Amino acid sequence: MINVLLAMIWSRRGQAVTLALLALLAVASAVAAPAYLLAVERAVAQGQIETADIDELRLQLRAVKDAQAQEQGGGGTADVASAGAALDAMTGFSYVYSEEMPTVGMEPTDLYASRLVFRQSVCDHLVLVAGRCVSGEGDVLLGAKSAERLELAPGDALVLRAAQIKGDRPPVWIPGADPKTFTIAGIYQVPDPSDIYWGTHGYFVSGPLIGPGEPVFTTKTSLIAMQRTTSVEAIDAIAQPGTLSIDRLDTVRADLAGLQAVTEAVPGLNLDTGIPRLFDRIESGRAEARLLVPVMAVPLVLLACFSIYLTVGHGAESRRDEIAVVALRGARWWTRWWLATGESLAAVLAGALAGCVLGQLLVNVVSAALFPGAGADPTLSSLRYAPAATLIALAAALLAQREPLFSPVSALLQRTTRSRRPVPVIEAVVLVLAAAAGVQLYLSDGSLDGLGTFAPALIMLALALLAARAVLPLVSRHAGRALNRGRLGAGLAGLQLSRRPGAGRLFALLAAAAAVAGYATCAVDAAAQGRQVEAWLGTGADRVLTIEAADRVPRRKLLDAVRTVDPEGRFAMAVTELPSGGSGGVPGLAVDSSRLAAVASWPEGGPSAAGVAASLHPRAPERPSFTGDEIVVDVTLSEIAADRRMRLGIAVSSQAGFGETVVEIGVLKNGSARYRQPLSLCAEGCWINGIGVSGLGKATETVGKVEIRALSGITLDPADWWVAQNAQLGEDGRFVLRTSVRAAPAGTAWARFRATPDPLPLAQAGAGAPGGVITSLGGDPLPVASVATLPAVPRIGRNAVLMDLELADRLAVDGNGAQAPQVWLGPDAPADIVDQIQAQGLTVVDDTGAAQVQERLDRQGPALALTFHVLAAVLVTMLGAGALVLTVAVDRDRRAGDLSALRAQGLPARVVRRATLWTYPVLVGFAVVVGLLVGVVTWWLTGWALPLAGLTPPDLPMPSGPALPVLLAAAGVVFLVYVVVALAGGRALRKRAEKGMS
Amino acid sequence: MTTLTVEAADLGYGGNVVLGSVTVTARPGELLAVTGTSGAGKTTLLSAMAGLLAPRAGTVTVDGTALGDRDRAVARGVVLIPQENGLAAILTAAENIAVAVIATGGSPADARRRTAESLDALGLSGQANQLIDELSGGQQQRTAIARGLALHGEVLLADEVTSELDAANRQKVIDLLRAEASRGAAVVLATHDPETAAACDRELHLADGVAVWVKNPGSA
Repeated sequence: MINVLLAMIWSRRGQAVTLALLALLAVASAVAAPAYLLAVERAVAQGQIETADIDELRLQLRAVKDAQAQEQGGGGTADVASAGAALDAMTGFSYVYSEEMPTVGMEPTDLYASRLVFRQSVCDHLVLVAGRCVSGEGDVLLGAKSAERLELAPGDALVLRAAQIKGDRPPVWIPGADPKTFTIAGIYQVPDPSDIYWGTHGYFVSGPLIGPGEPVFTTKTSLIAMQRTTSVEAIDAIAQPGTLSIDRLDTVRADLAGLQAVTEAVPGLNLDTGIPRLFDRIESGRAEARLLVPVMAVPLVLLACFSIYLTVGHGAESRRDEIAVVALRGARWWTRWWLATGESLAAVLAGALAGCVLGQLLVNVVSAALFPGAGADPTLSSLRYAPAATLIALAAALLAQREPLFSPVSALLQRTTRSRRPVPVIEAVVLVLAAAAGVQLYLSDGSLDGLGTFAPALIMLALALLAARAVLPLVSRHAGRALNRGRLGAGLAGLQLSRRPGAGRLFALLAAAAAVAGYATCAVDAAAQGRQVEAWLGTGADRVLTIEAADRVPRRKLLDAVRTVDPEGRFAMAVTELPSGGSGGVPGLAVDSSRLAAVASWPEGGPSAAGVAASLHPRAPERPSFTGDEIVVDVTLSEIAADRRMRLGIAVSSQAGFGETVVEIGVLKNGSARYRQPLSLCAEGCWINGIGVSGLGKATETVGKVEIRALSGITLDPADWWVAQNAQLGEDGRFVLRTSVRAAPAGTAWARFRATPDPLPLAQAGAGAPGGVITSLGGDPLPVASVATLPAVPRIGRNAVLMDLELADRLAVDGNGAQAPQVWLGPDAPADIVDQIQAQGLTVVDDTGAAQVQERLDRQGPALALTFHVLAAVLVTMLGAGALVLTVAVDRDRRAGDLSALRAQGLPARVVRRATLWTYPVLVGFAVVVGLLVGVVTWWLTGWALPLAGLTPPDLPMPSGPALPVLLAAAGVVFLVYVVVALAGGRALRKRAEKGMS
Repeated sequence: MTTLTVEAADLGYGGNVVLGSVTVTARPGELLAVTGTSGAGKTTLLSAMAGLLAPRAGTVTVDGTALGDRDRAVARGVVLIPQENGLAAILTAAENIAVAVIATGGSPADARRRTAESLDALGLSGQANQLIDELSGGQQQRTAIARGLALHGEVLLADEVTSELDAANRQKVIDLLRAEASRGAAVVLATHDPETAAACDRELHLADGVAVWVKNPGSA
């Protein structure tokens, strides 16, 4: 019996090899999915570690020591050494001990203190441009710029005193301890301020209230010998290469938990680390991968088994005569079973065993190519689905042969299947499962758990089966019509397709394979576009420089600084955030709109940036201004209740960029009076932003009439001014404010010059400002009018507003600095732009590039997991091609017989050529078109559930589908592969048909 | 009116000669029977007369010119009803006939008419739209005959076309072939059935690779 079986396999070795290859693909897919997932998880960890911020690769233990508190009774004595045991227990970290204290005596200002720092092995990370390294007590190293500015050199003496802070408007540093004389041992420069060795101490950050960004380095003994005020002791633990690898995540997590427990037990000891954030991101990426990979793995395995079902069934159909002969001879059921199924089962089993090995090898090769350096994960766990896949493949093979096995001999001797209409049980089951999976996915709001994971695969398969049921009768009808019209080539090709047993399933398989490839293309391309949107639109521009907000940078200064650096408006734009105005308000940005088109990343599908910019900043007269070091106001107060009082404030903005302030003129006297306030800010000119009247104390409502008769020589015409709330302006051409106000700031009634359109124009994304009012940069409500609707405001999202910074600044009546000041840079920004910006007095504390963001996104879970979709698309196309090869091979004899017979009856060779060459190309053409539609429809139904932008996607207008050319290109590749197979098969058939006639 | 002549032809496959120095002429209006036991070479002779098998020696001519290959033979009106019926299993009975009619130059309308007529003549109108595999062996054979008749050839070569027919149908087929001859076609009927052979005008018997005239009334 074995010999008979081997002879059968040998006689149809081509079919056996193809079937074995299909089984190999099925099992390899089942093995590849978990193996690939493991590889992706490693790659996610590797990618996140490689693109991590410095803060995420180190931890810092910090203890603040307060000498005064210590003297007064024991407080402030935390010591980083108390965490020594926990630190010793950690492996894979290198440690840097440091201590620092604020000092005065070196700088000519008291606005900031000089940082006197001991840092372990500091000279190894500095370049000494003069002198030597510190070695003994009293040695210090000075920064090169500070030494030049202060005209100090090695050997000079330097007297420093520990400092303490005093006051808060503005805070100043005063001596708090005895002086100590140091000797300058050397002058240094820092080759790499971003080196992880420096941790996150911000030693080299400079700014108006921070200092020059050059600490004074000294020795430990020098600090010990110093009388102190406050000091900060720290240990930086820096992860060594390999410490934060995927294999050690649990170890590091446990170590961190131990350290955290210690620091919580010791008051005053703080643990600061971004490592948990990194871990969270890795975990999130792994979770996303675990959702995305199965989405493609399921259809891959399903289609592999379907292709086995199809091809085995097709092969069994071609062997009906053999099986009939065996049945005719009255063979016992097991002999009949063995002879009927043994050939297929042996091939499937052999292919399955090879698939176990090949699946892992395939993943190893692909992951080595795609994720170099991520390392292998030698585990047998990826084989866990191999037995199941093998069993499913064998079951599919058996199921496919049920009909020849159990059919009566008379039925077996028939070759066509038109009269045998099997109940479409499989189709019905797939359809029901697809509907259930789709409903669950919808009801669970896109949760890819349980049956939901199978939704895309089942829907694609169900739609492909339905399409096959719908398309083939159409083909049959068309072919019959073609025959009737005398178009024999088309007619015969069509009938060959529609009347062959299994033609519908072959069509369904090819369509489903094309659908999977199309779906994978949708996912991969939509995600790639989404990452681009997230990187560029989410960042706002090519680069975004964050300016130190603690410096209280005036908005005018921000605007002027950026305009000075980029006078033509080609590459830089000043940006600030708008106050969100509480929970009811919307977030927003104020931008220097004249640069919007050149700098900002602009969302697609909305009005142009240039058009929006023009609408945001229509022409308007400039505010009234005056120059002088005092402000003089003549005011008449009347019609006020005896128990009420009113206060007058004037908001001014320096024309020289010194900032804004609200000048408190003071409490107004009843009747007429002249008020004066010194105002050095306006010595070089000031604009009047607003004139505000408020109540005092807890009075709920203060009604009164305030007439401004003169204001530092400015002509006050009430027609040029407007009031926002609680007031009426103007009386017989005089500047009279009738107000009903409460205490400042919220209760103030502001009169503003018409230096902006009223209402203020803004562009909105989403619902816009509630009630047509936003919170101004000054904090009071402003009436606004939407002049453009955007898909999203860059950097903020789909529910935000955008306004012109200059106009917004004209309305500001707060005197505060810019909120979250930023400088956005376009692609034409010069390389030294940060230096240029800093030279304008702005402190750059962060520099975010869209390209860096894109790189990080490209290495996160979704992007890496989606590479499996590409692999799946390739495998599924190979599956389709394999099934087509087998079908063509199996069909060849029977089709050649038919065509030979027709040739003998006079059918011209050219008609035979047409019928043979075009039969399968037409089939695959139809299948690819239908498959593409099925893929797109399935994408439309389920694509929204895929976490393409992560589990917590940004609020940005993400593309909902792929670019059409990309989709068509993918379909073209699939079609090309199929059509090559089909043409080769058709050619072989034609040769056989010609040979059969002679 | 077309005469098909095989002149001193040696016929065979590969290295074997099945028939040697055969000479036979199929004349218009006549029914020629080719008889012999199985393997005697009846199908070989009809294949040569159909243009499917080139003679190793001698000639096969139609009205004095070489027959050529099967495509040329079809063009000269040589119709073949093969022993295995030569029907395409993928087509229905009617489609098999219509395809052949159109392939040999008939219009679609002609094909429809002639298909219906020929099937009706063979008693197969009810099976016109059945696939070949859905027909019995006899029905398949009659379908092949119907196709042969529908082609209205000048020479009709029928290879064992009555082997699976009952007596009534056999007689009907012989009558139809006679009608073809009456129309002016040269009909050659390969058969091992003496009764069928007896109904023909002439009979050429094949045995041991040699052709012998059993009945040849017109010869000198």
